[in-house]
Amino acid sequence: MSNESTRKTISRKDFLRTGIAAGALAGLASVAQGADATGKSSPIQPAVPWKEGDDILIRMQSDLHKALAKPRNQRKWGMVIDLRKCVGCHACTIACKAENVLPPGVVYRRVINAGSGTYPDLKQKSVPVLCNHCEKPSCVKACPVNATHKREDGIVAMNYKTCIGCRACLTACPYGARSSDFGEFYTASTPALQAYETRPSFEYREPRPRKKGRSPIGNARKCHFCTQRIESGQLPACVTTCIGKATIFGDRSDESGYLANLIRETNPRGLKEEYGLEPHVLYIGLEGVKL
Amino acid sequence: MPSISFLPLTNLGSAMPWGLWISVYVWLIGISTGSFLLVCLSSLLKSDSLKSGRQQFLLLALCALGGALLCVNLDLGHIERSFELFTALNPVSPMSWMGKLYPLYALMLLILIFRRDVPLSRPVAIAGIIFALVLIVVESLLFAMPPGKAWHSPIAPVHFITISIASAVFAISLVFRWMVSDPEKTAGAESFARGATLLLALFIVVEITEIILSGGAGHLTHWAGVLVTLLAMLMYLRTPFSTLASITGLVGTGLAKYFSIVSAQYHQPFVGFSGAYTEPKVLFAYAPSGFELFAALAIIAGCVVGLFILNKVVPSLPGRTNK
Repeated sequence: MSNESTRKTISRKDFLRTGIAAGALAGLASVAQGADATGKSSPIQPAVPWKEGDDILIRMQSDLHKALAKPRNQRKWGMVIDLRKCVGCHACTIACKAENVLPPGVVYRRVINAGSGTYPDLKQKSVPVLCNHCEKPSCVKACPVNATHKREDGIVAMNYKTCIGCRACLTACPYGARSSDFGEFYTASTPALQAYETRPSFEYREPRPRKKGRSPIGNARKCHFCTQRIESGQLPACVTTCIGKATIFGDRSDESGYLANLIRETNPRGLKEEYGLEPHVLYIGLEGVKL
Repeated sequence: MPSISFLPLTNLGSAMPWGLWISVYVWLIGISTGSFLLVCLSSLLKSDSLKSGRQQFLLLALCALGGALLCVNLDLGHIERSFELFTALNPVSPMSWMGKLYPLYALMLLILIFRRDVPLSRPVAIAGIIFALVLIVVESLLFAMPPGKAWHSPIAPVHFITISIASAVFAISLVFRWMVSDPEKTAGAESFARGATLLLALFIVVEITEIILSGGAGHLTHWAGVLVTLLAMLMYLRTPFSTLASITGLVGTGLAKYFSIVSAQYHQPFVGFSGAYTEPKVLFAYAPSGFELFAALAIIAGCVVGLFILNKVVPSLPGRTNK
């Protein structure tokens, strides 16, 4: 009996030892995946499998992962905002601010209270406005040093190391979607600058602590569809935060994707289409809205 | 290299990104290219009006160019990267082309100033006129191209040409009076004054047209520049080359440029846009800070001092009367 119990004890010890070792290895692997020593964005986060009837966010993330499996030049990112669902909570504005560590004077997305209809049948709609990642961006034409450029996946991006801060792109954008970083801090006049302001953002997949004398201070800045998130398999911050599920994001070139289907079914419109810039942020329910 | 920027000392913001320094830059470039254009034009027309002070007027163009480039560099968010304006090329960006044209323009001025053996012959004068017009038009495209802005107007290039010439008329008159000779005793000065008055009248007409087309007719600030310039023109008519008329005219054209640039940015891209997100640096409001005013005035004063110093140092063309 004692031999049998000894064998069981040894087996339990071995089991525990093996289990702990395996768990440690798995933990190290996950840490290695999620925390790159150089701060570069981690590899693609695993998607939650989607099935019919699941939440729209899971559907969008599934489509996102499908797009990430394609070469970059075959992805065409776009966005549709359903004004019938937007409640004007401004959570997207704040989520963007937090995700990208935006300082005073820099805002990528804001929500306008717009009216529609004629008296007495008046209505109010909330209209989020952001960079439209136009097909023919006027800001790219204006930039003298090619710091603003149109990527092959459709995102109009900034090269923070090249930008000279002339702000020609700010004046060129008809949507007011761009900001200039004047180097201010919310807590500058307090006894100490707070860590939430000086912590690095990971825009364009590089750690960017905000320090005087360093980009992005002095640069033009704009929405980039949270490139650091989408390229690691996560939806942009405004999309996941939206309480009304009003912001839809995805790959326009994926004909079977949720975004492309939505565009086909609802025929959304862009802002200021008459300028011929071909915006890729479209709106459902824009008819009659006075902007 | 750490970034160098004076923008934190300004009252500029994301809603109003361009202010006094850009206005002064455009104004000085107008004086420079306008002066060069008038010198070349008078040479082409074989007019004596600007012959006696040609050296000084070219120095005026050079000093104004230097002041303008200093001003626009001051306005950058990364002054240490300004060299990229000369090395990078975006074929559809007016500012990118300006970065390539300005050095050529400066070289052209330096050659004409320092090389007496390069006469302002007919081919050189024609080339100079074309080059000056190209510079002015490319600069106007920086403002005319962006859709949705009040500057986005087919009349913008014409407006820029006429305001450049108007500014140059007053600047040349001032230089004529103070650095060349008594205009009353100089051959050709009277013909210049007559021609200048016509050019000023043309500018007034174009400026009023631009104000109406841009929708600014109901705002007093839009009219400030043109009214002051109109006053200067009337003073000029009464007493050509008077210092007061010239300075008033320069102030008028400067105001016209300032209010044109600044007021167009007050126009919000959407109704309710400013209320959607409110922070000091995203307000549609602007008044130059003390530092902006000081720097702008210092640059203008530097141009004037530089002109006087260069006038003493640079060998003059035959026939120039020292003052």
